[in-house]
Amino acid sequence: MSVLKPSRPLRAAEERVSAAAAARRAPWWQREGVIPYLLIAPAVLFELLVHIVPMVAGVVMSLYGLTLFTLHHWSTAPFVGLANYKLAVSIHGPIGKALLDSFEVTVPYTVLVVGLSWVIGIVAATGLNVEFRGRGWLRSVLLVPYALPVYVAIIIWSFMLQRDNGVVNTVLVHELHLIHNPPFWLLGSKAFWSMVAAAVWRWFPFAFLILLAALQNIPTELYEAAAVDGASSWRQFRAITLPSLRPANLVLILVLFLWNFNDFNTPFVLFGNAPPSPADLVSLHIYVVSFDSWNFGLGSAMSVMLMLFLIVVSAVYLRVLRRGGEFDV
Amino acid sequence: MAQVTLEKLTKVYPNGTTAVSGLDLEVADGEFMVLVGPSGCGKTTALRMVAGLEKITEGTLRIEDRVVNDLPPKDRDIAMVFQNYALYPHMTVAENIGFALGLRRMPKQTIRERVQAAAGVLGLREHLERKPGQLSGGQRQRVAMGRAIVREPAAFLMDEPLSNLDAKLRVQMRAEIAEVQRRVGVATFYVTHDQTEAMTMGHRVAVMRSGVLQQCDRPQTLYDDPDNLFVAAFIGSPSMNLYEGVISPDADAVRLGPQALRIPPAVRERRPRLGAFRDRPVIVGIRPDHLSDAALQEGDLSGATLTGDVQLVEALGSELMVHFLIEAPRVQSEDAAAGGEDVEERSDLAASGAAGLSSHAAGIARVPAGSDIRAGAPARLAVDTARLYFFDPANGAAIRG
Amino acid sequence: MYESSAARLFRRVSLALITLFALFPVFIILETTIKPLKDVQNTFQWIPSHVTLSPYADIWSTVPLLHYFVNSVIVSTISTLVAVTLAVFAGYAISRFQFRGRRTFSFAVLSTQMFPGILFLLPLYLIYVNIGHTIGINLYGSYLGLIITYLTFALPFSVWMLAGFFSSIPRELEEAAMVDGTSPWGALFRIVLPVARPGIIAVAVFAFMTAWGEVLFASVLTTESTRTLAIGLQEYATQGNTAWNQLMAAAVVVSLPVVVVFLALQRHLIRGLTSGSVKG
Repeated sequence: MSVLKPSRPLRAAEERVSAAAAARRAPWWQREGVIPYLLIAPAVLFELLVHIVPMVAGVVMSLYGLTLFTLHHWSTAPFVGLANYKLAVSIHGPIGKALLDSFEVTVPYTVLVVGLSWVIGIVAATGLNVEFRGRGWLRSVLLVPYALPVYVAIIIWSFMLQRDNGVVNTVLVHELHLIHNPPFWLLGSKAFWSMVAAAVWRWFPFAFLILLAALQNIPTELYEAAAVDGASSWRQFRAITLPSLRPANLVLILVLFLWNFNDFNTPFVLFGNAPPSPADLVSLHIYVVSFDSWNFGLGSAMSVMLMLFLIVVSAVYLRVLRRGGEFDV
Repeated sequence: MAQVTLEKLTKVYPNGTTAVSGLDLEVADGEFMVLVGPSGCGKTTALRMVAGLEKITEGTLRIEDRVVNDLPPKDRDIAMVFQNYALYPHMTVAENIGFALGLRRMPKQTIRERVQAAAGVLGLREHLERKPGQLSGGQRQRVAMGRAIVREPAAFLMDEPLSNLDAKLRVQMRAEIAEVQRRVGVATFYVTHDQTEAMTMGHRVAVMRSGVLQQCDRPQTLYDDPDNLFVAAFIGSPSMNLYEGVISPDADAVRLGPQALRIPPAVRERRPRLGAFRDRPVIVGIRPDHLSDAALQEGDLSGATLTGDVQLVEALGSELMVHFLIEAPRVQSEDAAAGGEDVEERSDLAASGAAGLSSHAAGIARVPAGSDIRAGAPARLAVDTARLYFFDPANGAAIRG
Repeated sequence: MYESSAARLFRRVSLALITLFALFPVFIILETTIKPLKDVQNTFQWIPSHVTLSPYADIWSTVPLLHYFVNSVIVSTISTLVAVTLAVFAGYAISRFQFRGRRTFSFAVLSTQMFPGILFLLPLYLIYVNIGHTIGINLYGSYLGLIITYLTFALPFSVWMLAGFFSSIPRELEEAAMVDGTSPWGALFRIVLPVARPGIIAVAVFAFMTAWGEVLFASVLTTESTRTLAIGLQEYATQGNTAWNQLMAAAVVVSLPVVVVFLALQRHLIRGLTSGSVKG
């Protein structure tokens, strides 16, 4: 094989051309330092428009007495400083108390939903990490609740929990005779548990999915070595599975916590604008305050407080659990 | 006219580290140039500068007489074989090999012919329709080579292509690559940390350390006449034994601890500057192959023997590797450690055998299998004093004229 | 894995229970869709009094379901396409370039998850209305506004996941491509993207599902003509007497696209997650 080399005079001309080309700088948008910024620019732009600017505006709104009247002529809205915030935190006043109650409902709700979803998720994921016939089918089946649009998933539970024509009451009262009077599952304190059940049903496949993916990254040799060393399945789980899942769990739990604490869909689809107070999640609560009593300034203040709360919790969480150093955000 | 010329090539990273400093090299058409050195010596950086994957900070790079400093890789007429092969996982072997040709809008028929030819040279004909994921390590390596040779470039660049293969395969592929390169006759720039590859494959070998070129010569010259301590310790396996010795006042012998070796007149003639080291310490180098079992030698061995305590004897079938200790100061240079793991082992052996101070130095001798040398007993080793090496302890340079 | 018989029993029983838990409501919804109206208005019956497919026929007239369906498809598809494109660019930038602000960007992306939707719901609405009045681009009550909103919701997670995924693709592949003769862009499109396909699919599925199922912003930013299924579905319930069988039938119809797509691509999803950001 030979390489066809141009003759000498041609080569000299080539060199002049390539030298000239080298002298011409690449246009500014191709230069190396600029390219990454160009690549992230559209994403940043949309984030600014939809997330950042409205958020800042929301914070600003919280400092004004913004009601239905002043909404359309904001220049006339009175600047009230921190009055909205004071109203929201004064737990002796009706508004502050209601907000605090709502928080006190949301925290256990979130803990329960995240905890139960994770437990079911990990059991399902470890269960499916072993080869058996029909494994693929079962995996698909278990993902269905998450695949459904959120509102469909909740509506199903809403239907099942109906007092008179729902299946839950039919089974409990008429068939198993465990209770005599069919209860209202969507009212009073039972509403809380209904909400939890619906949310767990909806979220456990997500935990299952993430954990399954993470489990598949654990080399089987670890388990084999442990088995040779004499570890039982439970021991192997504690000593190998859980530690290896740490990075995935770190993110999963944080994200589940944030999504569920902020959850608007579940209570809204179940209860609409009037949730029973034992099931008054904070997101819906703020929505009702804003849109039903038309006090947007107050609603914004509450939202800001909610966000600050979440930021603090997340920061603490990350700091405390990030010791491993394997987690690069 | 050289095919590839590096003139004072320098690479300084934005954070200030200098990876390559003033590298001068020329690779002629058809020549196999090996760039060798320990990790971090800058060899891969140099290669990547030639490829265009790293920007050149200073210096000039010419390919076929064109200055290519600012040209992107695709315009430099080079082909590269990566350490991890970098085969496109979603394409078949045939598509992988022909990818570059397709980019240059060659007619499909030509591409098909060239791919077939390359596959034939490399024994890949039956695998053309498979994907890289289905191939073994050796086969993937060949595909990577096929991708390079089908380009018919001005130069091949190879970045440690054998380091991911197991030992036996490596030996086989070494020969294959050298053979292919000979057949194809393209200037080749080959980077490795393995000195055996360097010695067996290269027409010339360039030894690098900390970004600086130490010596560039034919393999045999590097072995027989290293310019400095680093090259001496790096080339040759097992690496050279290095001791601190003192030249006698008459410069006709060198003392190694309580023992002494005569310096033959021929050596004195070759290295006149030894005279300047009378009564002064020097670094003495003795290659393991230049030591033998004195019991098996005939003739006058006076002044040409060393007695040491044998720590370990490794039987290799054809020969014995004798690990021994002598009472002479060890050479404390971290550069020597860079030459190979066996040198580190020797330091460990000495450390474990001796009492703290570096008063005992370990060495390795290569003796034929018939020898009676056993571990745990002292042994008398004959030294080929005509092949002694001497280095200046101040800067590691070879003491010559 | 070597399991004891106790472990195997636990695994089988727990999987069975979980499967029951997952499937039971699905069974209920499917069964309800083939019941006549009177079945669902009285005490729940396991067996329909007679099987009828009329709910599936009636849903389209009771509520303008088809219209809402089309709206949802348009909004979800376009926002997915744009979101994936932007996420590919941004994710690639984060994984391949060391530029100032890289860490900040990653962290900012994750922190957007902490924003409660209601905080910026009203301001967003006001901004959209204002843009409509001043610049004349109608964002309220239009597809565009909803698309912009949804694609931005999908961005953080998508960018993050794709960045992780791209990082797991060795740089050598692009370098080999550039030596072979592509430009840096060519290397991205011809080599990196095909190899990253599982991750891209995972991100696309996620973005689509986010858009398809979003309720809060749809409730505020849509009007009659642009209403999506999320809101439209509730209209079955406000007809005085809830026609559950029709509602369930509509729910099934609404869910079918996403479920089918999701299940068909879950294999890719898992591959995408496995090689991507799950490792942290």
